Amino acid sequence: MLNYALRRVILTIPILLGLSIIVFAFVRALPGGPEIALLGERGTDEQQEQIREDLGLDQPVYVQYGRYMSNVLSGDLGSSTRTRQPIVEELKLKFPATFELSIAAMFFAILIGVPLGFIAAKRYQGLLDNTSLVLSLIGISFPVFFLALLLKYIFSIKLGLLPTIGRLDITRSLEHPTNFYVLDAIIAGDTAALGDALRHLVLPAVALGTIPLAIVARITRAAVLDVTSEDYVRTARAKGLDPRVIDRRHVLKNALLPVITIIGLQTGLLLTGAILTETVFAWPGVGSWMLEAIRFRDYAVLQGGILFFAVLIVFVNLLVDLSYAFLNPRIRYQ
Amino acid sequence: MALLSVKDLSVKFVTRKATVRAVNGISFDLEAGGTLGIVGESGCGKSVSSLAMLGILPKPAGRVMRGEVNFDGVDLLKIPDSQLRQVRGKDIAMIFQDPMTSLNPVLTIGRQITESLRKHLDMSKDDAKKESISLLGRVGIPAAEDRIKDFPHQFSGGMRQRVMIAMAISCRPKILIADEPTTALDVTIQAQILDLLKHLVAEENMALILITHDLGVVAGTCERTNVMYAGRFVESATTSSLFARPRHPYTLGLLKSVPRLDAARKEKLEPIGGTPLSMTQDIEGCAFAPRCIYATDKSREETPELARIDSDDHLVACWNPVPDEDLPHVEVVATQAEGRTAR
Amino acid sequence: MSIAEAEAKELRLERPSSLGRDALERFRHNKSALVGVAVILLLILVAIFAPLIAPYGPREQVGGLDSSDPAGPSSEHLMGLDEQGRDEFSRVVYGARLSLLVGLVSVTFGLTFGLILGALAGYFGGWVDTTIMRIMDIMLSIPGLLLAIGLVTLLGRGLIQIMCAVGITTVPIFARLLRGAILAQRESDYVLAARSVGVPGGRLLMIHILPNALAPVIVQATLAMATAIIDVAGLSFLGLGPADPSFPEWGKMLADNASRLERAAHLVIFPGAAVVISVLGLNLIGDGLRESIDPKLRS
Repeated sequence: MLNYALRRVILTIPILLGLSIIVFAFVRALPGGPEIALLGERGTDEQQEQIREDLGLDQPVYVQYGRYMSNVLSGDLGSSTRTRQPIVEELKLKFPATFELSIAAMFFAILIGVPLGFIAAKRYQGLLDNTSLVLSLIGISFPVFFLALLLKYIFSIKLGLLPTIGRLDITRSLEHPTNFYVLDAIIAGDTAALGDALRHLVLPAVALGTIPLAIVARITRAAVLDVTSEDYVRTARAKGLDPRVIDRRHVLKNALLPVITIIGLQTGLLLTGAILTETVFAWPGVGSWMLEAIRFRDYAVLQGGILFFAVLIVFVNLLVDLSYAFLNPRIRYQ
Repeated sequence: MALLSVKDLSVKFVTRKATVRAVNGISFDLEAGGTLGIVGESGCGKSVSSLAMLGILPKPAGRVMRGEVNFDGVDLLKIPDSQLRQVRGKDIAMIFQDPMTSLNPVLTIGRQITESLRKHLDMSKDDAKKESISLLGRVGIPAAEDRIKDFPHQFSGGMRQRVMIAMAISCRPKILIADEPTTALDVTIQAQILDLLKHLVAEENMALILITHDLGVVAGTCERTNVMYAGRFVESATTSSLFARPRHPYTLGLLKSVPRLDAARKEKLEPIGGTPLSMTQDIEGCAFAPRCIYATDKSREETPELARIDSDDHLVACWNPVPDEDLPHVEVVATQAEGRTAR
Repeated sequence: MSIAEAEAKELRLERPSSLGRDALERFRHNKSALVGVAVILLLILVAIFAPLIAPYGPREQVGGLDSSDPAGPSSEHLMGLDEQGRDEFSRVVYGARLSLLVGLVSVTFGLTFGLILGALAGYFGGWVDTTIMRIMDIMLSIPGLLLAIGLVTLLGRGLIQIMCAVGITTVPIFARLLRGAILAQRESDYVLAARSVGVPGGRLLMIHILPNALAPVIVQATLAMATAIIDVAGLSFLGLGPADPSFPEWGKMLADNASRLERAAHLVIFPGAAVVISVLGLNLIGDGLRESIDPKLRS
């Protein structure tokens, strides 16, 4: 296991390196050159000079790359073209919002997706099975932003059941030590605020989590079907064990292994979904921030954001791989 | 009264494409402590019959059409699954062909043994653990105390099969059904496993049904052997009689196609010509007739039933059984006290 | 598969038939796949005969200009009027052309490059393989949309640029697929046999290996088209689509009217539904193909 873990971690390094090179090249290739791109049209000559020095644009490429990497590794991703705020600071502020939303979406996807997939598999080719298959296909056919708009229209605008935008009622005040509104409300012991924060979380989480839900349901179904036809389930039946025990100890324990991997791999989907969804609900996270960066040609934010997302995904994938290795005895005990 | 009495068991598989008649009316009796071998090629229905007896046919395709499986006075086919579960794994246990895929890869083998003990014998966790260690010792696994924490993939093929046997005998079953227990193993390991089974049968007075395609396997282990073809028994006799006087042409064919140490060097192996019939159609006459060198017109028209030949406990289903001159008269080392296994 | 099932299988003497015929047979009986085919055929017909089906042009001003409260569906205008007074139905119909074009072009682009790279990697192996696959891995570690955003930022906005960007994001998938198929085939007995009698490498590739790798590629291509349509709509939504404001692309129509959700929901619902239906059709076909080729998946 240790061997495997070490190898896996080491494998990550070339990928991270490759990513950094890609983003580095990206900045250099931006229209108008990095000075214009990173400073915007209004950049003064001084500022342009500064950038040229910072990036070492007159130096050979490898020196530029070196500068770039040392910047990144010391936590400096540059400043926004629009607001001139350091990108890392903005990330610290906005990421919790997206993170909270992603977790809620994942919760939604797993809480409904796994049982749904399981029951569909158990009642193979029954009504629930066929219905869930069709529904999950429809689910992955929706562009996430359309789903967000649709949900907002039905539940917020027409039915008025849930709030349209934001994370909290604007009239409500709450301390934000963690910037995770749900946690903040719990810390403050403010149940009304908690309820409010949760209500604001519902629609965006459902919109963001529907596609992962469809995928999780399908994979769970496939995994359970696979496992149920395995020889060791037949052995368990031959031992006269209770069907529920068989489901729990023999079927699910094995079927959930691949499902866990899939759940981890949804991160990419969640992050890109966030870019498309947050804006519909005016959710102040990294997603809507990226959208604005695109709209306003804020290339500094864009490259910082892309790098951040990509690195995050690589680490989550690493975590998923290691968890899988830990949970699967065949890898854990070599 | 026999411990297990199977009468006219018939099983079919229903799929979208076709219906397969896997088992067509088999009957046999098994006494306590008796050993019965069921021999036949792949697809003849031998495994299916055991699955049907225990009520673990793959659903929804597998269905029992008719028959009785009387165990200890109860027809297992007529009781609900909740009752059947008390018998399965406790009074009648089964081990399967491939021990690697037949063991749960994510549970320790200790756990897989104790779950039977705790379910059927209501043992406490500690007692079950102690018992599982002792069981592993009995089946010949060294350092049992450490090994119960290990996972199936950490054992070799032969060891895994021993683990399966330990699991199966844990609740002291009255009958052990072994479905091709040695097919997936090396020849040397095969002998060890068969030896182990023989010992356990003797120690526990446990009845054994040994299902295999390999005649060599039943030769040393079973008192009686039934030969199965196309879902029916075509011959039933004591193992020694079967080898000495194989009256059914199929049995003769099986014997002749097995390589023998004492055969003359230039003697050729004779395979049985033709291929097994597709079991989706109704078979007219004897199922083996198309491949049989002794077939007559009657063979092709009427299905033969098992009838006595040579002696009271040698049965054959054939209109034109193998004549005396063609019998190989093979000697088989007698196994245990004959007569214990009824027909 | 349990022993019993294996026995049941072996008993059936299968009628010898080619893989293709078998798969087609299964596909024909797959109801949902047939629905998918019907949907896509409809889409193709609408796209081809758009000028005949749509009562107006996609940029034609028809009604009054009332961008704050565009008219909803009526008997004259089946899907109402958009914020510029254009017939929404016509725009949605013309949008079908774009979506189809987009799907086809981007996937063809990605497929071609992906297959070439995959073939090179699979065939030559060694450092060629490693290099190509490392690059593919890195590409795959960036989520599709993000990669597309980055590419469009570099290439500039516009329909062709979007198609290229989306196409490029599908390259690693096809490369990996083909490489995997080639590697699997390379070691198979019949290939070794062919090589031992001196069949030249290129011929080997074309005649023996590629046809077997074709099936999963077709499945993937269909699914990639579905994703392409969604991704292009997404990019339009983000404002990276063609600069022309009157361009009748479904994603763009959604983006332009997201703010008008309250008063002009029809301008969001109809284009959105069009995307969903088209993508669903492709997904149904892709799924159906996948099941036909590997029926084990269903059972």
